[in-house]
Amino acid sequence: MPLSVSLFSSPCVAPGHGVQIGCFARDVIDGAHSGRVTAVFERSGYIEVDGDWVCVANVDAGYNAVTISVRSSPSNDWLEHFHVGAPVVITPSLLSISDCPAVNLLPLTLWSPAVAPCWSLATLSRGLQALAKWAPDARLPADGLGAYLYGSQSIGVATRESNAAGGAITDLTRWVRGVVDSTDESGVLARSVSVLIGLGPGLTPSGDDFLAGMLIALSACGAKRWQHQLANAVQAGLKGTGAVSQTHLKAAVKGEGGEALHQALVALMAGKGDRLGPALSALDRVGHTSGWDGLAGVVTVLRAIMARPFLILDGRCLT
Amino acid sequence: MSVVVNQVRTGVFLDSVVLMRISRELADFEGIEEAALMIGTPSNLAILESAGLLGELGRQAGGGDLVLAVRARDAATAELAATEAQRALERPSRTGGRAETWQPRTLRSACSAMTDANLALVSVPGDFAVAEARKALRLGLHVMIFSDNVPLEEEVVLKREATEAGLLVMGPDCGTVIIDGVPLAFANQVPRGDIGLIGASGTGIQEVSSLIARLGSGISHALGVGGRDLSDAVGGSSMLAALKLLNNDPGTRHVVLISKPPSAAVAKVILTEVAASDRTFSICFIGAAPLPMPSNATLLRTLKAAAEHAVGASINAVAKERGDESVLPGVGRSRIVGLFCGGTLAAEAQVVFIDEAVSVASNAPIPGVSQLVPVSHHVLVDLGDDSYTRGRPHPMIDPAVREGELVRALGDPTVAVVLLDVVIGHGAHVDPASAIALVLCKASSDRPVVIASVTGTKRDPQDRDAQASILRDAGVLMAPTNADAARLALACLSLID
Repeated sequence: MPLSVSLFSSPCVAPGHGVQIGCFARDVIDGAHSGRVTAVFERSGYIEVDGDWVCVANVDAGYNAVTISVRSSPSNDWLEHFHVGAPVVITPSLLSISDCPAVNLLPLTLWSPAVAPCWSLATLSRGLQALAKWAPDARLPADGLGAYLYGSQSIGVATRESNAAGGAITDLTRWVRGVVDSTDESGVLARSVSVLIGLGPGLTPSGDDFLAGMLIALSACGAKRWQHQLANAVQAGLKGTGAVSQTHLKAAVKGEGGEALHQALVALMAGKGDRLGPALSALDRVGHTSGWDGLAGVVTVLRAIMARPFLILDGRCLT
Repeated sequence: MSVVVNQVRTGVFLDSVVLMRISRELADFEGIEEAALMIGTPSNLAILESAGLLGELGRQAGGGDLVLAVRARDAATAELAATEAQRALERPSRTGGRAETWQPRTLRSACSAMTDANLALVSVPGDFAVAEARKALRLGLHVMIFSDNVPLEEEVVLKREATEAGLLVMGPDCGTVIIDGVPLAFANQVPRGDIGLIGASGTGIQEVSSLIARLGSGISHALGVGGRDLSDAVGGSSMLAALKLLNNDPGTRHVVLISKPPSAAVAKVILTEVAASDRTFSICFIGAAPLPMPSNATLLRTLKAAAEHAVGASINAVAKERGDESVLPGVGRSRIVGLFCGGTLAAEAQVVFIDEAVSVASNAPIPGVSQLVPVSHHVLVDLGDDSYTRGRPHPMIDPAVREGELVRALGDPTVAVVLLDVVIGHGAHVDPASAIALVLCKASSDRPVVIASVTGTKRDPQDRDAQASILRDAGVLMAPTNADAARLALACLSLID
């Protein structure tokens, strides 16, 4: 196994320049020194390091907990040596693919998602009202679970995924609203997660994005017990989805996801209607349906908090 | 009668936009009743099954597979659609073979295979270590010698050869090194940063690097030099070489030196080199008398103080542990017994006792501490000392080495406080806290107060927080650092405020 000892060697120059790294990605590569390329796309690639995957993506794809964001020339030549199976060598200063420098890792700053500086039931209510006002302009994709953005009764065209997800989303909504008997909570969670996890066609199936949105919202709101319970159920079901999506779910278990979803979440929690429009536009550009699927999970949690103001958040009771 | 055709492809990753587009193109084919392209997760397979799109092949798919499912009016149409789907899925194939693993049998063959290698780690019985290290030096490699039992005179000659070749010898008996974030031997998983460490002490490097990590900073490199390097005989040869390397390392802003007290002559040489450096220094010569320091260096009494000085922050401001000194030992109990895995951690505890003017004895005493004898009152024992480990593993590797002493101290009616260090990280026991907890659960309820700290980080394989939690649940008072644990022990006996 090659060991980089840059203390005794000179620095290399690579075509890509890392600018930001998400917490999950940082934790995966920090201390690691090798991996392999597992997937390659037009503007990004995934590498596997010690069983976890990290996304390496062009900076215009948006920051994410699982991503090393790279600034590059328009030709994306930093991706030139990304081939599935190619060996990756990681040093503190450089990511090399097949022995070729690909991405400089210095300087690389840690990206942390935005947080709502101050929020209450009143601000949350304003945020959800702003979302409702925006609804007439919504151009939700026909696919995925974005149709559940306005409640557990799906609107829009029923698809295979939305039909399959309906019961599970209803159950999760009841659970987070405290309607489920406490003795049946773990069973409801396990069943709902098993239905949703891996549900949908893409790299991050819609069901996974929905669950990630719920986890991130529960974490942001400080609903620790609920977040912990759902996180346990998701972790137990991780093998029910693909490796790329597992990576995003693991980050969501820690309360972190993509930049656009966090911006929308903060706008909703802080009641900043003026920030909601740009945030939703950014979400619309995340995958085919992923942005909307994640937001549906977020809103499921936020509505539950409005419906259940006695929910204890970080030891305090919202009023 | 309808025909279902499935194809399963492994290791193909496409985003949902592409998958949905291809699915719809297939569905528009003349004679195609339904088509889908999905990853083969159980949830998706259930959907395909209920849609009548799944055959035997598809049912065997997993979450890492892409499943193409087509239902058509006849076999020819289904096959044609499947072929079209394959074509649509084709993209520049960039699959390559995985690098094969290969184990070299000699240093020379390793260097032939890895021509850019510049460091060799030697871990062979001490009698052979010098010969292997010398081979490495002749191949132009820096050397880390993990082995102990290397004669002093051979160490002196080897290091002289290394100096002449412009190479660094770390060791012998060098247990902790971190280079470029790569931990070698007993080391902790710490983030990279701009603080360099040079230490003649393994657990000293571990405590300081872990505290620096907990304070939010990181380590550029941590270089061990071996416990005898700062002796008159060796003359600080490796520390001087390490200083030169860190001076020339653009990633190192500040350097921490850790060692037991060097001889006066060696200290002078080292501090002259420090004074000539444009880096700033935190110097912890544990137990050393005050020394005149260059303007760019500060002498610190403890490992904790060295870490805090290097970062410019206080560990107590960020630590979760809040030692409760209001816990009172039982009547008639007045002694403190420290049972340490780390020799430097035992030395640091001695510094705390000296600074609080409390007499203490040790089997590895620093200046000002008396040698351990059977009638000693407060005792701080280094269980990693040769007298305890001869023919046995080090207590960091095998907690059983400490168990007998721990059981004895817990059952001693004169012992008020048992003080422990728990050292985790790469190379250390997988769960030292549980080993201690197991002993404590068998002890009587009126046992002495047990105080401990965990040296390590949350990202170590054992997880510092998890280890601390196990100990706390077993009734151990947790302190944020080793020095704080020693202070807490004194506070419990009202020996300090």
